Amino acid sequence: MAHVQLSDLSKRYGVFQAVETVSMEVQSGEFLTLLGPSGCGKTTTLRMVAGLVPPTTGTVRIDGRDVTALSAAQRGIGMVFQSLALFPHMTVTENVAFGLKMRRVAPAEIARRVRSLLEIVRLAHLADRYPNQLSGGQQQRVALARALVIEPSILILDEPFGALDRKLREAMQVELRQITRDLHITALFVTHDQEEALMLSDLVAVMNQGRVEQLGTPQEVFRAPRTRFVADFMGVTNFLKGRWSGGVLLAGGGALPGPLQQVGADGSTVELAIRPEEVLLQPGAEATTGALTAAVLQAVYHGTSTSYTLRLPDGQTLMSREPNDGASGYAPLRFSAGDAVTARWRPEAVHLLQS
Amino acid sequence: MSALRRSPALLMLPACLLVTGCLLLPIAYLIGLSFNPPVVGEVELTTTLTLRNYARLLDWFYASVLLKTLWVSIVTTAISAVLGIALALSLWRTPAQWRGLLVVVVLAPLLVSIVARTFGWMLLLGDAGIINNALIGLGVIREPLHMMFTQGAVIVGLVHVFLPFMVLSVLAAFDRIDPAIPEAADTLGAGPFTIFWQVILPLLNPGVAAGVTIVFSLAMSSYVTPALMGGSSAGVLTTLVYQQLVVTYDWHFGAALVAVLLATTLVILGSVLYANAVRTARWMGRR
Repeated sequence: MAHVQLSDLSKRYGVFQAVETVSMEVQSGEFLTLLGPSGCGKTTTLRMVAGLVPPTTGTVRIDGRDVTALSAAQRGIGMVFQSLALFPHMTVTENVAFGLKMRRVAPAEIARRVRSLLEIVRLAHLADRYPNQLSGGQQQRVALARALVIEPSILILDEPFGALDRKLREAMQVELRQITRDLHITALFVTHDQEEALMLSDLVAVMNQGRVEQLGTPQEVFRAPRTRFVADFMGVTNFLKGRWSGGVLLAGGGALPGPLQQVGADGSTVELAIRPEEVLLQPGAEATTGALTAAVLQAVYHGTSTSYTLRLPDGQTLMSREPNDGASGYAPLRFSAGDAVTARWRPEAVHLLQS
Repeated sequence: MSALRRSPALLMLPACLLVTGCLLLPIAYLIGLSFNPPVVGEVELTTTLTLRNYARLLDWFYASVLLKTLWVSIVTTAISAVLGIALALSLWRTPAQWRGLLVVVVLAPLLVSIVARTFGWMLLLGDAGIINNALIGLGVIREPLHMMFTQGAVIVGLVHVFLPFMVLSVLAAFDRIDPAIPEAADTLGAGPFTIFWQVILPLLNPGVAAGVTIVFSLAMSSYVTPALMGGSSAGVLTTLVYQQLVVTYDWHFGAALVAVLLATTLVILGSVLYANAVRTARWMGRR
C-alpha cells in the first residue's frame, strides 16, 4: 500500500547509541524483516517507524511525505506488539472495532469491516469471546485483525510469534505471509529468528550494534553474506584467513579454487566464509590447484548428516558436513580421526567478508 | 517436621488460633451480649434473650448517626479513590529511580502519630489557623470560616491517613498493566483521555476494588480521627459505641451498635464487591 523510506535514522539514549544512521527503503507491498540478536536496535528502529519513539536524528517518509513529527495514529500504522497488547476487558469484536471507533467511522461501517476482517483471520465464530478465553494462536489473529482493520499504510510487527510453540508459529507465519500478499500490505517485521526472517520476507536487513550490516533478499543474505557477523548469524561456521597473490587466494596452506575476483593488493589479507555443507571431501592427501589437504580431527554423526572437523596444514580448522542420504546413510562413516583427506568446493561457495 | 509436611493445614493452626481467640470469640461474645436485656454495669452473658437493644436503634437519633457514619465513609472512600488513582498514575509514570522516594512520601502520613497529625490540621484549619488568616489577610473573607471540628474536617483527616492504602493498591494494579496496551491504543488513534478512561481505568478495577475495601472498612471503624477532629457535632457510630461502653457503661446497647456497624460494613462491601465481580468476571477470569 505504501512506500517507506528511512534516511539516516539514529537513536541515542544518553551515551548509548541504540540505532546509528539506518537508511533503507521498502517498496509498496513489500515485506521487510529486521533481523538481529537482542539489543541490536531492530525494535528501536521499528518503534521509530511506528512513531512510538522519536528519532534523535534522521527522517521517516511514507509515500514521500515526511512523517517524522507525526504520532503513531497520524501515520496510519497498524502495529502488532510482542506481547500482543490486546485489551483484556473488551471482546474480540470490541478489540478489532477500537481503531475504527477512534476514527469515528459510522457504526454500520464498523460492523461490516470488523466482520469481514474476522472472516479473513477465521475468528468470526469467536467474535464475542474475551482475550482470556482464546488460545495463543487465536489471540495472535485478533491482534493482527485489530492492526489491519484500520487499513494501515504499513503493518508493523514486533516479534509477534515469540511466545508461540514451534508448530503454531509455523502455521501463523504461513498465514501472515498469505494475508499480507492477498491484501498487498507493506509490512515491517522484527525477529531474531533467521529461519522466520528468510521464509517471510521479500527483503531482510541484518542488524548488529545499531547498524544495518546487510540488506538484501533472503537468498542474498543467506547465500552471499558480506560480513562475518551476517555469515555467523546465517549459520556459517567456517571462517578462514587468506592472502591474495596474483589473482589467487592462498589459505589453509594451498590455493583456493578459483577464479576469484581479487580485492586489494597482492599480499593483503582477507577473511572468507564457507558453509560446511559446501566443503566436499575425498580420501587421500592430494595437493592440486583448487584443493586443500587436511587431516580429520573429529567425526560426528548427526543422523541426517555427518560432520568432520579438519585441520589444514597452516593450523586453521575447517568443518565439512555431508548428508547421509541414499546408500551413504547405511554405510559406515567415510573418515575417522587421523585420516588424510582432500577438501574442495565450488568457487562461488567462498564468501569474501568485509573487515 | 514430617507431620507438618503431610498436612499444611497444621501450619495454619497458629494463625487460626490467634484469629479465633483474639478476634472471633470477643466479637461473638459482644454480639451475644447485644441480645441480653440491658443492665447497666453488667457484662456477663445470660440466657435471657431480647431484641430491646435493637429496638432502641429505631430511634431517629441513632439512624441519623448511622447515616452520618455511612456518608463520611463513602465520601472518604470516593475522595481517596479519585486522589489515589491520580497519585498512582503519576507514580506509575515516574522514572524508576525517583519512584521509591515518592512512595515513601506517599506513605508519610502513616509514619506520623495521629495526635501530631490532628494538631497539624488544627494549625491549618482552625478559626485562627493559617488558611483563615491568609484569606482574611488577603481580604477574601471577613469572618473566619469554621472548618475544624466539622464533618468536613473528619473527611479531610481520614483521607489524609487512608490515601496511602488506596495508592498502594492502585499502583499494584498499574504495575500489572502491560505497557504495550496504552501504546496499542495510541497507535489505533486514541488520545490520552480516551486511553485513560477506556483502557487504563477498567484495568485498574482489581486495585481500586482492593483499595475501596480497605479504605471503606477503615473509615467505618475509625475512632480517633472523628473523635479528635470532628468535635461534638460530628458523632459517628464508633464514638457512640465508646460512649456506651465507657461513659454510660451500657455494654448491651453498645454491643448492639457494634453489631450494626459490623453488619452494615459487611453488607455494603459484600454487595459492592459482588456486583463488581459479576460485572468483570468474564474478562478477568483465568489468564
